[in-house]
Amino acid sequence: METDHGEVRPTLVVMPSAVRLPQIGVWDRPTRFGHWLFPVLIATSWISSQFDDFRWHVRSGLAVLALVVFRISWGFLGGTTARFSQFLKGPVSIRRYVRSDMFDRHYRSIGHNPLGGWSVIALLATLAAMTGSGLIAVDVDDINSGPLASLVSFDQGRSAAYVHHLAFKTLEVLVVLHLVAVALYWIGKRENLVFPMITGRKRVASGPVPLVPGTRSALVVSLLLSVAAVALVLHFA
Amino acid sequence: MQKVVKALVLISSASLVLAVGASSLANAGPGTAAERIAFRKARFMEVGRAAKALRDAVRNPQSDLTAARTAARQLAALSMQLPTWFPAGSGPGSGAKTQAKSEIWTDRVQFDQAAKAFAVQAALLDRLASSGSSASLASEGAKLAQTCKSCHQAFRNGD
Repeated sequence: METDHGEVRPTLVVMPSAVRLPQIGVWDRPTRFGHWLFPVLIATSWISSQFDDFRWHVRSGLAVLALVVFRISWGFLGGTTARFSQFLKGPVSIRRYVRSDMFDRHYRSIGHNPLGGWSVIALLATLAAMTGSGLIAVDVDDINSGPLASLVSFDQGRSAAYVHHLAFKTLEVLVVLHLVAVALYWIGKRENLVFPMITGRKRVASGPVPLVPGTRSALVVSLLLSVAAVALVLHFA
Repeated sequence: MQKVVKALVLISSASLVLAVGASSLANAGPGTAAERIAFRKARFMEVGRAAKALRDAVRNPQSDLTAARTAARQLAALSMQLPTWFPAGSGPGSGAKTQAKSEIWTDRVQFDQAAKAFAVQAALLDRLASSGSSASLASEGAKLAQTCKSCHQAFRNGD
C-alpha cells in the first residue's frame, strides 16, 4: 500500500470478516521454536534459583546463553521477519507507529512492529548481560559462583552478581511489557499474535512481502555458533 | 616485696584490660552506626576475598599450596574477630542501611555459636594447609562455605 509520500508501508487492507483471507507465512520454524524456548528456559532458570538448585541454574543459564547466541545469529542469517535489518526501524517509523498506526484498528503488518523490534533488542541485550554476568558472578558464600568465576577477582565477581541481579529486574519489566503488548493487541486490535507464533502463519489480505524462511545452512551455522559459545565456556570452566 | 608484686600484677592486668578494650574498640570500628557497618562490610569483603582465593587455589591443579596457605591463615585470623564486628547499635535498628538481621543481637548465643562454627572450620583449614595435606582441602573448604551459608541464612537478609 502506497502512501501519499510514495513509500510502501506495511499496512494491509482488512477485508470483511466473511471473506476467508489467505494464510501467509509470518515466522519461520527456528524463529518460533527459539521464541518459545526462551520462556521455558527463563522459567527453568528462575525456578532453579528459587529452589537453590545451582547445578540446574548453571545448566539452564548456559542453555539461555546458547539460545541468545542462536537468536543473534538468526537475526543476521535467518528468515526475513527475524532479521535485525528488517525489523529495526529508525525514529521516523517509530514516531509514525506510536502516533497513529498503534491506535489504528485496521493496521496490519507482518513481522515485528517498529516498537516491538526494539523490544527484541532490549530482551536480547538484557539476557546477554544476565548470562554473561552470571558466568563470572560470585555469591557471598562462594558456593554458588559462576562457572568462570575463577577468572575474575572477588570484587569483580561481586559486581557481576550485582549486574546479574539488575538484569533480572530489567527482564521482569520487559517480560511484563511484552505480555501487556500482546494482550493489548488482542483486546484493542482484535489481533491474535500468539497463534501465528505457534503456527507460523497468519490470515491477511494480499499485499505484504511474504516471509522468506531461513535456509538449512543458516540454521546449521547458527546452531554451531551457539554450541561453540557453550563449548568455549566449558573449556575455561 | 609483696606490695611490688601486687602493684606489678595490678598494672599489668590493668594494661591488659586496656589493651583488650582498645583492640575491641578498634575492631568495632569508629563511632557512628554507619561507620561501624562500613567497617564490618570491609572486613567481610576481606573474608570473601580470602575464601575465594582459597577455593581458586584448591580448584586449580597447577597451584602450589602457598596461595591456599596464605588464604587459610587469613581466614582463620578474620574468623576469630568476626563477633566483634557486630557491636550493639550496628543493627537494622540503628537507622543505617545493613543486611544484618536484628536476630544477631536478640539471639546472640546462636549467633556466637554460628560464628564459632566458622572459626573452628577456618582453624582446621589453616592447620591442613600449613601441614601441606592438600587432599582434604577441597572437601573441608566446602564445609567452610557451608558455615558461611547457614549463618547468612539465619542472620543476614539476602540480596
